[in-house]
Amino acid sequence: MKKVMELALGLITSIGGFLEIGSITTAAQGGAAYTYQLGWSIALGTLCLALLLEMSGRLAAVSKHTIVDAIRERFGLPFSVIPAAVVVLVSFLVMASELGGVSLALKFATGIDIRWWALPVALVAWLLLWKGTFGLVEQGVSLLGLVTLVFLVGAIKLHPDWGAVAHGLVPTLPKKEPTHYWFIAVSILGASISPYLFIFYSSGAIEDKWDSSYLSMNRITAGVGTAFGGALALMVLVGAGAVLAPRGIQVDSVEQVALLLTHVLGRWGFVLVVLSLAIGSFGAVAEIALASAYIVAEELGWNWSEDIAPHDAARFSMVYTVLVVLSSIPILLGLDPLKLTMLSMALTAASLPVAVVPFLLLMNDERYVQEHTNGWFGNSAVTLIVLMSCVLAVVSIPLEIFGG
Amino acid sequence: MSEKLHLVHDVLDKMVLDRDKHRLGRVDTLVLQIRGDAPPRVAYMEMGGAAMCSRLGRVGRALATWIGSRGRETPRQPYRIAWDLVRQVGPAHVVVDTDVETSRTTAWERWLAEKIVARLGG
Amino acid sequence: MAEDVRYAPRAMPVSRAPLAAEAGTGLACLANMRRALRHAPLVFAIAIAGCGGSPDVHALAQSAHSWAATADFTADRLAHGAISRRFAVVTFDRVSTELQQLAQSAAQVRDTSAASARDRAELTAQLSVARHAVVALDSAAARDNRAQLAAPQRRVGASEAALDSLASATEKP
Repeated sequence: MKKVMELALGLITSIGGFLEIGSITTAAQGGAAYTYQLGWSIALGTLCLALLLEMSGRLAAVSKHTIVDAIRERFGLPFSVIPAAVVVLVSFLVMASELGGVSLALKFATGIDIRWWALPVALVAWLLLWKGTFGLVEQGVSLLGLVTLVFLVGAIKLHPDWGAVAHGLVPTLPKKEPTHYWFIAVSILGASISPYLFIFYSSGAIEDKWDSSYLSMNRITAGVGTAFGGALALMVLVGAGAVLAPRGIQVDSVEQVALLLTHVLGRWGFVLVVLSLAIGSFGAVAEIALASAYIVAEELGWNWSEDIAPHDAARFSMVYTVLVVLSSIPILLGLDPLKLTMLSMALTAASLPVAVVPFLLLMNDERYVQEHTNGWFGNSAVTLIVLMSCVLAVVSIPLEIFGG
Repeated sequence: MSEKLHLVHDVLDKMVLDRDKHRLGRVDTLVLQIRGDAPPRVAYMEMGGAAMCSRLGRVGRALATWIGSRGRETPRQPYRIAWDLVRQVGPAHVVVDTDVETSRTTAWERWLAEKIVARLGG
Repeated sequence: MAEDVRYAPRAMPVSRAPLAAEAGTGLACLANMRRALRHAPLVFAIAIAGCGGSPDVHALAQSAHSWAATADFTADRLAHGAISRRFAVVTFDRVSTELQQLAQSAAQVRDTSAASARDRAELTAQLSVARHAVVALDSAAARDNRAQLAAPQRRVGASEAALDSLASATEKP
């Protein structure tokens, strides 16, 4: 019974915690520019994420090591500092853009400029981490994040051409502006497959004291939960394709995203979309801060846990404290949150190989996953993800410059 | 411990726990003692920033020296735990017969907890 | 005499053939990436050099159309009570700022001979449409001063600045 409750919570967390400024704006850009044609990139990103999450969970449950633990022990310090440092740096930029997302949502609601919101939002996020437990951070915010279901409701009420939506799930070449098309595709992939997500997931499995009996639950949460979350992102794309594309509105600002469901859901459409942006991005700020603290503490061998008081894990707690405060600086300096988001998504895509390559070896090492090594499907999938991430690493920055 | 131990596979970079299973740090370097023609023996595990930096190339070693010599005339050795204190080398941890509350490896942790975290209401 | 020696070799042992094959794929990827990145400075140099050129007229026209449509849609939603007036003002601020910048780019491009007459005509037309849309949104957002947090002078100033830029951009060279 307890496991059933945990599973239900896990699924809700995956659904409610999926959307944030990165996935919302990249999906909206895709829908506005190419109607439903970029659906495949959301599907592909979601599938890759689901696979990587399942592997992270399996590694943690069986070996009692988080990914960072396992990478440090298996490959040694000189190699492991590279993925650790890269992921912390790139995640920091993502965190700043998420903070920008919350600040923008608050600006839409109150009219007050985002620069005034940066520090208060950082403070609230810090308080949540300082006083809260892992369960509260992960599940509490994601439960509130169920407000993002408004995109599903809105998409259904828009009565789009579902045949065309299904057609868009198969990759096709664009009829216009190919550089811009591939730039959005890469950004969507960067928004979906963020390394902080699976690092957070594996540390969470250790926080929740998973063991081998959790392997089925892990598969369901990672697979089904992520799939539902990805479907919500697809609904954002569908909404933009049905509302913005026919009007010729490109998504060059988040204001345009807030208008998405105002036609079909009226005032509620506006309020709930703004709330979705605020809650989704706020959850991401807390998650990324915690994930970065996990990376640093696990890599360096410090004591860590979100379930204990900060004074029992002082260095770990100070890492997320410092990072949350610093992440408010780009917004305080007046940087545009959308531009920051697009840049951080491109950099995430560019940094994927260093985070994903270790999976290839770890998931086949019996010292860690015992008899639960990857089968031919898992290994083929990881190899393809690694190849894809190498391609992304090379093309994402030039595409950001040429097609962004 | 009479069974074979692979130092790199089983010990290096492993998490170290104290006798009450609290996290102390990681095995950042090992120190072997070379005694003439006799086989080398494992003398210490080194932990901490200086030990880690010494593995990161030329810049790292310079940084390690700087860390050790900050404010001192004679540079301090990185934190060392004698190999004799090792009680168990398990699949996930190395357990050592010390106490995290008094160990030098967690001095910074205690300082931060007292001076900063406590002031922030943690 | 005993001598202490540090022992921490780089370790990435690959002990089994299938594992080696899989690791080989990963390592080959990394090697290829490193090779590609060696050319990265050249790519960036070309990209930066490419960015120094004049903006694409067609892209500017599309952008102008997009902002005009955004202004129209916002005014329409405001009229139906689907959005708050505060948000309408926020959107207006954004649209007028973007159009100002767009108009400045358009003025640069208008005089270059690289743009075709048809493209320039399209850009002029879109900018005129945008100008009307900005005026409409301005009036819609101005109707109830109490709900605005932006100072009326600043808002009017922003719309006038945008209109000035648009006017000069749409004039015949």
